[in-house]
Amino acid sequence: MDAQDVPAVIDRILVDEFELDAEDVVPDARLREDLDLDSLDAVDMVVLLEKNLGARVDDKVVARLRTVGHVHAYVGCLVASGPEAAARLADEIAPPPPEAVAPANGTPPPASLARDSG
Amino acid sequence: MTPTWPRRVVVTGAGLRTTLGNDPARLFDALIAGRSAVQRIDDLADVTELECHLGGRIADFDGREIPRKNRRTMGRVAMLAVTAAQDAVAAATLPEGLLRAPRTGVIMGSTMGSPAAEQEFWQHYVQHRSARGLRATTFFQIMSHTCATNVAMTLGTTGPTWATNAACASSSQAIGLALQLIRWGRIDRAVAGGADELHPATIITFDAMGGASRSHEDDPDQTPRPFDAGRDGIICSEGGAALVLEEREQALARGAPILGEVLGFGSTTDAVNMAAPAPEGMVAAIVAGLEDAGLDADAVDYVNAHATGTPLGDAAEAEALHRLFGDRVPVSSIKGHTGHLLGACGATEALVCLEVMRRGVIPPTRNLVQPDVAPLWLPTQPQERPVLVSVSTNFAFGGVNCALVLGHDGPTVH
Repeated sequence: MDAQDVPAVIDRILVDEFELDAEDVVPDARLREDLDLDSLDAVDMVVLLEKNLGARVDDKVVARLRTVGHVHAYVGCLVASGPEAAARLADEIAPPPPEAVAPANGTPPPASLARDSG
Repeated sequence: MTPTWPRRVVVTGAGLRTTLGNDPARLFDALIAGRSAVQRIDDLADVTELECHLGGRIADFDGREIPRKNRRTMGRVAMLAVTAAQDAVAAATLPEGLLRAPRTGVIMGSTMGSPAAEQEFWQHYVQHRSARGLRATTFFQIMSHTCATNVAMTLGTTGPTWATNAACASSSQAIGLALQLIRWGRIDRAVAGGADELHPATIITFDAMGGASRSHEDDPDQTPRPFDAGRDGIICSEGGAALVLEEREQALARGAPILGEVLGFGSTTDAVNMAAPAPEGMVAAIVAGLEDAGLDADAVDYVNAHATGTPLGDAAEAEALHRLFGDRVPVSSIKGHTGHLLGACGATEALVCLEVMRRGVIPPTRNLVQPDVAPLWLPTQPQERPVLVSVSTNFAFGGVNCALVLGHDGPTVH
């Protein structure tokens, strides 16, 4: 698969497998808050991504991703450049959550799909 | 109000998913019209050494009416259970506050979890022997209490959840357990029933042990043939059935619809042979049910028989019914129409009994041309007659014998 095909494949998975409306699946859509996906869905997403891509996906990274755009970017980089480059990209766009950091404007960052108790 | 013990238990709601209709009235109309649910199942065409390729499959059922977040933990069997349970609760007009109260239970059963989900799991494991590549939700579809938990989760109940997984006796046991729990004040109401999905594995299982009907591949609607001389085995089907049962005084106080009363439940075990039934145990179960209801055999106006169309099972049951009722009481089995709904049959047949009592019409047994069992009254045409008390029997592998005693508008028996 080419990296440029990745967003369409991901969007199709989200629409078909998670029964989302195509018009809601946009890069800025937040996986948890807007698309109502949770940690069980994160596990299934990894399974579906690997099945469709034929490549290993890091499930700990996927659990940290917060938006559709993050998924496009991480998986696209995985396909184009391999797991190490993709992991570095993920660290930039969706770093592991810091310990109780309050953003300056008081708005909490979008939640990831890791652990529903969070 | 000072309670009267033991408390009476009434049915206030019914939900069904079957091949012949998705509510008791529609199913009953199909029984009276003589419709058959049995068809050729294409999935089985390439299974070698299989002699039965027939079954009952519900067309156009995919459970999509259940929200995805609930449905993802459900295989087909749980979807059948949940949709039936939702319909039953809606029909009972049960307020959300009561549905979610701690004294509302869920008691549902099935032969097993989803065989389709099990197939997915084992295919993956055998091929890859790896923990990777399995969906998070597969196990919830496989686990044996998948019906009970998915019904509870979807309805949002907080009271006790019980899983009565006992093959053909599953939903009969569910109703029997609900009766005991409500009657003796452990809970005030319950959603009780069961389900099973059609899967090649089930048909293959019965066929491999010689229990499936093999003689009507070209005329599927001619089988199964309960009590008939030409009967040659079971036809598997699928469905979901649920009843809402409530303590009678509370049901009346809230203006609930009253569909009938559960008067008694009896259960015995043959402990002779895992697959071969014995009349003595069946008699004992029915007698126990009648004693539980405080009734004698001569109070019974109708028996809905388990009779699945097997040579031995139908003969044993007929012998048991003959000993108790002679040819005084009309007896019919609906399995000639529906096939064997397995985990759903007890609750489905209880609902048929309620409909019999409501309408004063007894459905005939389909495909019964020449009975060759102990003498019984076996109507082959619909019979109009008042029915105040009916008995519904279900007998499962392992010699599990169950009998439910149901009443129309609650005759005073306690």
